[in-house]
Amino acid sequence: MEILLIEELDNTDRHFQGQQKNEEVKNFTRKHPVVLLPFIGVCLVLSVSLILVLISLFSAGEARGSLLFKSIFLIAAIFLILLTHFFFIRLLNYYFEIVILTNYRVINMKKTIFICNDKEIVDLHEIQDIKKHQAGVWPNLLNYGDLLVTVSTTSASMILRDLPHPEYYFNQINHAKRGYILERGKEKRGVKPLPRQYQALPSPTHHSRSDSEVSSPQTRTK
Amino acid sequence: MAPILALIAGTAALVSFGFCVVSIRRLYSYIQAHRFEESQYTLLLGIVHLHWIVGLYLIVTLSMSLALAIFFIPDLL
Repeated sequence: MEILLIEELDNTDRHFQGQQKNEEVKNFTRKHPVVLLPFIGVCLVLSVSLILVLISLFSAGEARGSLLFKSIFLIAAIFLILLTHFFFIRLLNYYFEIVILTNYRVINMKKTIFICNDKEIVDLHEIQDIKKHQAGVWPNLLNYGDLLVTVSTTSASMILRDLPHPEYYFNQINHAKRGYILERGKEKRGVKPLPRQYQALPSPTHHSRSDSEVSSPQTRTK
Repeated sequence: MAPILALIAGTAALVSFGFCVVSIRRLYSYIQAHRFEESQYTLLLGIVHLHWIVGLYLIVTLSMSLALAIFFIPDLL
């Protein structure tokens, strides 16, 4: 039983590929849905136009059997199918772009289904400064904005664009950074802290945290 | 010429459906690698689940492919 208590939870690849053994996901978020608005508007206009073309072709009466009608109908239908795929792929790509905050680092994943697969990581101890940028009517009205994470090295800063509730994530990153520095300080002084899941352990039967605790802002405290 | 159009329409319908299936397969392989607990703060507009969009995508693509095929099949026969 003692071994069970001392043994830490292995989080390797638990929530995302590359997650380290002692790494806990504190938060994750996607972009604000407002980023989809221009794209949805364009798709809506184009699809309505194409559907109107198809309806007018169908109501052509006698010309329906002609080759010209069928050619135009086929072209319009193929365009509509392409537009549908474009629309849904863009919607699905929305779910791929994730910002993850762990107790070690900030990870910005820019992925699409077919084209892009980028990952940007900044360790918490590298963070020198964080800036919140929320200028304009819409960002303040709909509560979204950018976070600029400046790192201590000469490499480029990490920009987290169009985050919902930027103030919350701004505070969360600051909090995680402070926690990380505190933990490292304790380690340097030779005090090895227990993993958080064991710190307030009532009994050995409650040694694992539920997944719902490792989620997004739903666990936030106001 | 009409059978050629029908062949093009059939190919477009098949390719469209195939593309949809490949996209969904890639999506689910990604989901298996990233197991996050979703909440109202992470879903699209707070309520739209990814599985709903996938289901809708499949239904729309399938129905459009079928409609295209059904419209042009008589030219092949």
